[in-house]
Amino acid sequence: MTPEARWKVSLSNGETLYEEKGNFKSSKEERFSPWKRLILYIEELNENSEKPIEITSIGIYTDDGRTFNLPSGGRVPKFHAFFTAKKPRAFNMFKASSSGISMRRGANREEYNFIVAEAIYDIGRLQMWVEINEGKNCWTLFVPENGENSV
Amino acid sequence: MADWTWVLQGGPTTITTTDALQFAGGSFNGAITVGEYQDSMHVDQNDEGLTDSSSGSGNNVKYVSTTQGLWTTTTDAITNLTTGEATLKVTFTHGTNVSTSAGKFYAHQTTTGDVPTNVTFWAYEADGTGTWTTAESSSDVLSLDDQTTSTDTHDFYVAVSASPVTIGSKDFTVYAEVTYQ
Repeated sequence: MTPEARWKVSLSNGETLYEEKGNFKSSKEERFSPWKRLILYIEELNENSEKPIEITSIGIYTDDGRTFNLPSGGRVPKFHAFFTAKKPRAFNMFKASSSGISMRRGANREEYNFIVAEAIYDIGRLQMWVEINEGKNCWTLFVPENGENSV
Repeated sequence: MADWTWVLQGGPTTITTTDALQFAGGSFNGAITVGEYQDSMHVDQNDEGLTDSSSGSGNNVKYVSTTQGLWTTTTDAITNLTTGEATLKVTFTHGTNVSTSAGKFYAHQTTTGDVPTNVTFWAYEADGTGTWTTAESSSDVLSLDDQTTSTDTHDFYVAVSASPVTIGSKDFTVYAEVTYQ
């Protein structure tokens, strides 16, 4: 099966949660998407917690073992640069899809599907775009505060 | 997984992955006079010379001014265009219930990604508000309405109108994109 790129997050309570695993599987029977269910889960945790529960890191993984990570509030940085880099104040995820039709007969339709992880800073958002199908292509963007391309 | 369906309304005719959307004069393959806007819309099938549009054409909404269009036989405020009268129904579907936002609709030159060469292109989302918008590149777009209800199907109804600046056929691509959660 073609590996798909999916999100994974770590929470400040120590949990690590994955799209398409546990309570965050895709299902038409579910009212909301796995990501929206994660947000609701975090809200529910915060109703019962003295300390705020929040996302401390976000990444994108594939079932064949690849991972793509954004800067995090990580506790075990592997290099000095990771330790000294400014930590994001929040994180977000969305997916993007596009489709194009041609005015020229016979041209194949263009369609693209990406998963986007965002690390949010005061001055803007660092976005990591990974192609959902096979997770082979990845781009990073920086979107200044109040710029486009953010949800 | 995400999927898209494009339909030329009026037939209706589904535009398959190798079909083309055709802006034409009064009939299939008919030329549009330079400086004028199309009088008919068609699906140009990937079989030579065939059109799949019922009765030879689909819905046509012709640009008149930024606030007006001509469809059926009447020039009217473009805000009066109903979803059923729009040229295109563009449907985004997904295997789970999702909401969409930051939707965009635009055209650009197929080979270069630039503004379509020698074509003026307008688009309008049939939502009862706004005006025709030039939508000629990924930075000059028609913004599609957010659809915040989580569902597995999201429909967007868009009128399109194009005018050649020079004679000859024009090769450009029309795009729809959304972000979703």
